[in-house]
Parts: sequence; C-alpha cells; structure tokens
Amino acid sequence: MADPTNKTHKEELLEHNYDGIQEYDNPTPGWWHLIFWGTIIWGVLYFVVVQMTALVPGQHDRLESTRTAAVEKQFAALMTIEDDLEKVRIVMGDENWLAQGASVFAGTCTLCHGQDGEGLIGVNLTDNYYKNLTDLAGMIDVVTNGAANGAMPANKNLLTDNEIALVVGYVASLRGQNLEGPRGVEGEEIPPFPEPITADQDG
Amino acid sequence: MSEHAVQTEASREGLESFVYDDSIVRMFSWATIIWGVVALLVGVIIALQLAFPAAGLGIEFLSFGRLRPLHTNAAIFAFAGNAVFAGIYYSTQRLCKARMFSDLLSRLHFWGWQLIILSAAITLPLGITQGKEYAELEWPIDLAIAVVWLVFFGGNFLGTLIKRRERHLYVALWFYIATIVTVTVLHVFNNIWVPAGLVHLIKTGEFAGPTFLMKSYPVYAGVQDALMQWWYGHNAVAFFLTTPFLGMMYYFMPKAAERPVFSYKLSIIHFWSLVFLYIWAGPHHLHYTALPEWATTVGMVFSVMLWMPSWGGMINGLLTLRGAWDRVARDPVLKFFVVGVTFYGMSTFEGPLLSIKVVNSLSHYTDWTIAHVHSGVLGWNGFMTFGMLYWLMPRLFQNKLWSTKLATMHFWIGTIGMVLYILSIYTAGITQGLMWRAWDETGRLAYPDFIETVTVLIPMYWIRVIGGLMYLTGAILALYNFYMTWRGRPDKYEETVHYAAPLAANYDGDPPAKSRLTANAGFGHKGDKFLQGNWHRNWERKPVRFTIYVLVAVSVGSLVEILPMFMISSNVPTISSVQPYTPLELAGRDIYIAEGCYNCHSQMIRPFYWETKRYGDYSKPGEFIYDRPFQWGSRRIGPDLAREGGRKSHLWHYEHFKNPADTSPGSIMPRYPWLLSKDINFPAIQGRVDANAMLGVPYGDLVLEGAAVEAAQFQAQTIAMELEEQGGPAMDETWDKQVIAVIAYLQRLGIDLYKDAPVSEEEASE
Repeated sequence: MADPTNKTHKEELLEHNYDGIQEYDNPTPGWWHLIFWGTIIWGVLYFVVVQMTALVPGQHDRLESTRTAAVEKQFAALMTIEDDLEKVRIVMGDENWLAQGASVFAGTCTLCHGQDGEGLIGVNLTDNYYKNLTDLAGMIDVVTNGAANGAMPANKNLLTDNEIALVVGYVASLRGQNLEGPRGVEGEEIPPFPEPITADQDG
Repeated sequence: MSEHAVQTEASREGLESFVYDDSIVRMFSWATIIWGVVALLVGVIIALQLAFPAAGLGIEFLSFGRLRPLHTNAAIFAFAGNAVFAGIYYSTQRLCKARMFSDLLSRLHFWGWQLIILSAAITLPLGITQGKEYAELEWPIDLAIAVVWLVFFGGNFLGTLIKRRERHLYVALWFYIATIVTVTVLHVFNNIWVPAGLVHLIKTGEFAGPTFLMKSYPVYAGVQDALMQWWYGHNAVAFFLTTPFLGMMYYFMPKAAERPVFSYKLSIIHFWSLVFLYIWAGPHHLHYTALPEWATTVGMVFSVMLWMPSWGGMINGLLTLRGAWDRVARDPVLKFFVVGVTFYGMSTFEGPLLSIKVVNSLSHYTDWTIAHVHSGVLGWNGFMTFGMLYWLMPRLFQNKLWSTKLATMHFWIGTIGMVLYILSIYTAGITQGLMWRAWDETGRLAYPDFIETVTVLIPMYWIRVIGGLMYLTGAILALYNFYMTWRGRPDKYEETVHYAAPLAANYDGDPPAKSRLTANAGFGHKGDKFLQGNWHRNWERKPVRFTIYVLVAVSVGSLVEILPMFMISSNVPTISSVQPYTPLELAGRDIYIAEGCYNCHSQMIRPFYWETKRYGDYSKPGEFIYDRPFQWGSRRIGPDLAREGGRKSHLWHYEHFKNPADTSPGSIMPRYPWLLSKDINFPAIQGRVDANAMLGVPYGDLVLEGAAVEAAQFQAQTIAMELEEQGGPAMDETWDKQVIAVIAYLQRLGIDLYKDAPVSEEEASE
C-alpha cells in the first residue's frame, strides 16, 4: 500500500485529543465516494425497474414459465395419451422413461421401499407378491391415493399424473428381480402385468 | 498517591480528581475469556455431531437442536457480549475522563448479565426456547435482559456521558450509543409475547409444569413474525457484533499502534451511513420466501449500499496502522487487530454479495451462510477481542504479559484453524447448493435423494472439526496466558489519580467554519461549511441529542418495512382452506420448537422449479397465519418439511425418531429415543390453545374448559391406532407419548392448501 504521507498532500492533524488518540483531517478517499454513491443510484434504479415496471417478471411468474417449458419438454410424448394404463406400459417399454421413473422413485419412495425396491419399512417391490393391489391399475391407485391406513401415503398432491405413470412404470419393471429384503414375502402372488409397449410395436 | 501528584497540587486548582474503575473491566475480561472457551467448546461438540452423529450419545440435553442455540447464544451474548462490556467500560471512562456513573450499576450489570448467561445455559438444553434464532431465550429471561441492558448498562453509560469532563464525544462513543439504543429497540419489539403458561396459571390456578410456565407465543405470526425476527436477527449482527466492535477498534487500535486515526471525516460519513442503512437490510434473510417480493428487494438494495459504509470502518482501521506496520510483525496485539479488521472487510463484502438474489438462491439454506457468519465472528469479533484482551492484560493486572510467544502462537493456531473451518464449509455449502439445484433437460433432479447431498459433505465436516479444535486450542492458550499474568499481579492494584476540569456550563461553542471559497457566494459558502463537518462537531457535544438522532436514523428503515407488512392485508393474502392446528398438532409443534428442529429443517419451499420438484408446490404467505413463531428456518442440514404432511406413514416417522439411520442410511440426524418414552403434557394443551385464541386464532368451543385436552386425547388415540395398524407398537404403549404429538404436527404440514375450504355453519344450514 502506498503511504499517503509521502505524497505531496500534507496530512494535517486535527486538534482532537481523546485519551491521547488523535485524528487526521484526511478526506474520505475518492473511490469510496464513487462506489458508495454508485450503489445508491444503482439501488434506486434497480428497485424501480424490478418492482415498479413490468420489464422483469416476478419470481412466481418466472417459476411458472420454467415449469411449463420443462413439463412440455419432458412429457410431450406422454401428454397426448389419455389412458393411464397405456402411459404406464409406454414407460415400461422405454429405457429413458424408466430412468426418469427411477429418479422419481429415488426422491419419493426409497425412504420406505429401499434404494432398489428391496423393502424397508415398506414392502419388497421386486418379488411377485403384492399387498394392496391385484393389477397395474391397482398400483396407480395405490400410488395416487395411498393404501393400508396410511402405511402407504397418497402422492396425488406431490406428483403429477405423468410422474405417477413414470414411477408406476418403473416399479412394475422391478418385478421379478427378487432382491433379498429385510421383510420376507408379503401379500398375494398376482397375475403378470401387461406387456410394455415398445417403440417398435408403436410403429 | 504518588509524590509527583503532591508536588503538582498547586497547578491543579479548579481541577477535579478521579480514579477509573478497572476492577469492573477485569471482571468482564475474565467473563469474556471463560465464556469464550465455553462457546467454542460447544461449537466443537456440535460440529463433531454433524460429522459423527453418534457423538450425541442419544442424550436429549446434548442433541444438536438444543445445543446449537446454546452455541450461538454463548458466542454472541456471552463471549462477544462480555468483550463488548469490557471494552466499553475501559474506553468510555478514559474517553470521558470520568469514572463510570455508578459502581453499583456496573456491578448489577455484570452479575445480571452473568446470571442471564447461566439461565441460558440451563434453559436451552432443557428445550425451553422461543424458537427464533438468536432470540431463543424465553420471556422471563427476556425481561431480565431488558432491565440489565437498558437500565443497568444504558443508564450507567448515559450517566457517564453526562458527567464527562471531555467536551466532545469521540467516534468510539458514537458507536456505543448506536449499540445501546438499537439493541434495546430490536430486543423489545422482537420479543412481544403472550406468556401462555403464566396466563394459564392465573386463569385456572392449574400448574402445568415448570417448562410450560416459561412458554410464550409471539404476538406476530407467520410472514410478519419472519419479518420481525430477521429485522432483529440481522441487526443483532449489526448492532451487537459490528457497531460496538467498530467503537472498540477506534479506541484500541490507535492506542496499540500509537498512531492517529486516518480520517475524522470518513468516520462521520461511515458512522451515519452505516447506522441508517443497516436496519433496512434484514429481509435479505428471506429471499424467495413467502415474504412479499418488494420487501426482499428493499433488503437486497440496501445491503449492497452497505458495502462502502462497512468498508469505511475497515479503511479507517487499516490506514491507522500506517507507519506502524513494522510493529505488526513483533506485536501479537496488532497482529490480531490486522487480521480481525481484514476479516471484517471480507465478510462485509461477502454480506452484500450474498444478499444479491441470484447468489442467495444458491447460498441460502447451505453451509455458505455458516461459513460467512464464522468469518465474521471468529475473524472479526474473536480476533478483535483477543487483540484487545492481550493489550488490556498488562494494564489491568499491572504486570508484564506472561508470554508474548504464547500469544503469537495463539494468533497462528487461531488463524490456521479459522481458515480450515471457513474453507471447508464454503466448499460444503457450494457443493450442496449445486447438488440441490442440478436437474437435466428431461426435468429430473440429478440428486433426488436428499441423503446423497449430505453424505458427500462429511469429509468437509471433519475438517471443520479440526479447524474448530485449533481455534478452541488458541482460546485456551489465551486463558492460560491470562491466568498466569493475573497470578503475577501486585498485592494491591495501584490506582492512578487523574485530574481534569469539569465542563464549563457556558461553552461558547466550536469556532464556526469559514468558507474557503473566494469567488462564490451564498449557497456555495453554506455548502463548503457543511462539507467541513462543523455541524457534526456541535452534535458531538450533546450526547442526549446525539442519541435521539441515532434513534431517528434507525427508526426510518424499520418503520418503512414493518408498517406496511402489518397494515396492508394484500401482503399476506389469506387462503380459505388453511385452518388452525388442532390442539394435539399445536402441542406437537411446540415439541418441534423445543427440540430445535428448525436448526436443521426449513419449512419454506422457494419458487424454483428444482425446489418444487423436490418438495412440492412453493410456500404461500397465507399458509403460515397460525404459525407462532414462524419456523421457516435458515439451514437445511436435513430436508425441507413445509409439505411433509402425508408424505410418509406414521410408522416411518416413529421408526425414524427411534433411529434415523435405520430408515435413512447415512442420515446424520440424532436419535430421539426420549420422544418415544416421555408423556405428552396434556393439561398444558388447554393453556396452549387458550393463549392462541387470545391472539385471535379461531378455536371456537375448544377454549371451553378441558375441551382442547379431550380433543387432543382423541386425536392421539386415533393416530396411535393407525400406527399400530401400520405395524407399529401397540396403541396402549404409544398414544400418550410425545412422538404421537410430533407425528400429528408433521402429518399436518403443508396439506391445507389441497383441502376444500370448510363450509361455514351458515352455509351448511342453508
């Protein structure tokens, strides 16, 4: 740091003396003023532009547009399909959809059903036995509305219909892996789920 | 009295003699160093619990949620607080050329404050808390703080100013005035409550336990409570941890460096701009929450404007050392001051940075905030305190500092520890923030399982433990040095007698400024005189007027932000389906608060796509109108709980409280076995409901005697029955246990939004 005492500007001591402490009559540095008044002008302009004009959308509008765009991009191929069961079967037949279903599963289901669906507080989802359902439509209902006195929570407020289709498709795909879980066999063996719809069949 | 004094007796005609009270400074200094070690030790303990959760030992009094408030309160009010008092009592007497106004008030202040700290150390581990950060202490302690702070401390200080023998108030005293005035205002207005337990006792004559007797509910709810709390919280940083330390910097730094202060003019402009602007910045703690966007924008722009006023202090501090830098290399006191002021500069640059909304969207709820506050408290407050203590030790104990070498060692071990702490936690914060928001073009979260974003931080948490341990070690070295210096004190402290003239009543005033302009006239001359700061020189002679001006300066921003939030209802639009908590849920909520769950869990989903993906729809202001206090939180060590209701089974919650690691492998949440064994305090539930009804919550017939208790028992049995049906333990064993009330509360969180609005009785009868 340059020592201002060496400059031509001569420092003057004020006649202040407090318990031996003295003060220089130095001016406040110019750059200090520049930034200080700059931030004030910027602050006023920022507030006016952001809060008092329509130039910048509000935080909730920004969320809505992001959400709309993201949903459209993610579910364009599924959105046109009316039949829930058909949606699930499409998910079951497509690697990409299944990967997305796995992501929903990881965020929503693993805490009870285990990382790989092997069961924990919730039932094992990888064997052929099911507790509260007898077919795929039943699984959609269980995920949506819950079952067994709340042991299985409802997800209708948390997940969209499309996300429910993703996660049901993913869970259906786990069947038959028969992973070792802590709970043993629960419920009844039910008939096999309908076949997945693959891109080939579609075309 | 020394010979010298006798000899010069003649020349002292018309002078008054006085002796400074240094024993009160010794008392506060001891308290500072001892409480400092305690605060740091508790910090290391809870840091260890995050790296290694089993360190909590499953003991309720040691759980993170209860100890973290103890750590923050001890660091702020016990360590920094006592340091402030030591510094103020030492410097004020000398700057006023007067002994403190009253020795009795000084002692009442000291012992009153230590009792408050002691009561905090007892009540917080017991779970007696208001559940608002840095304002956890319950209402009886609040009252004690108000008396000790304003009457004992404030009265004593102002009395000293009035009987001073130095005409003008030095800049340090301006900062002390701002501290006393503003902390009083903040403390009083953030702690307006209904003491539910006391009201219940008076109304019914029924004593529902000591814990409940201490229980209060704030008069503010939800959004308004949040605004008040962060107006308080932010300005506690400003006026408890910044202004008094700036005042101490202005006294102790030029004393230690034996150099004049760099610029008087700068001290004027940075003092007033700091005091005026700081108070507006609180809402930056609530970016993207349910607080209206206009208020957070105000908070943000004022935070940015605060950058230069803060740096004014840093410049004046560092440039005061010009010509003394060679001594910094030798003198540990100056070393501590230099690093302290540098950390002040860093954290007051970082503060405005973090207040910018886009940055805040990443940093908020992460460890970045934790790193920021620790660079402030460890670096600025801690090092300024240690520097001051090392400077004071030889003077207070009238003995050479026992070991300069040990003090230098403290400096280095403290600095390295602090850097380890802060860098590891920055890394942790940014890592976690980026993981939370990562989502790909298919709209899926990259890390949907929250646990993944926690386990990755564990190595950083270990480094933090090491850094914290080093800083603690440094403080213990200081304590030892302090003790050894004290041991070598003289048998009797010498008390120097000072002489000064009393202030004459008929002071002519300071010489008026002369315009330096030659060609200009009128307005130009006035402007030039104004710029010479003479008007301020006049203010410095009038402490009462100065105090009033400070009060006005801090009131403007407060009123502009607070009044609209209370008076304009569109700031908090109501939602017809949002109903009050049931009595059992309310009791569960109070347990949630007592356990300090808010220290790790937020209840505020921000309007970001990735956040709504993880937690559900963003939080609305109308959802919180019955939340006394609000529980939005400030850090997500665990996931957000705003829409926890209905997401998991009762059984999952039950097992999770028993041992979180069973249901969520890798979880760092402590075990809560006591929730499973302790009974719900049913008689107190009526008092809880009544107090909320007093505050306007529409509880209808539930306020009738015993109605709330009956309703709570019925709901508890229902939940216990469901728990049993889900495969949990038998209902008889669980229904009256605290865990059932907490589950009732958690299952209610955030679900009202999806319900139909209740049909009013009139509509139903049609």
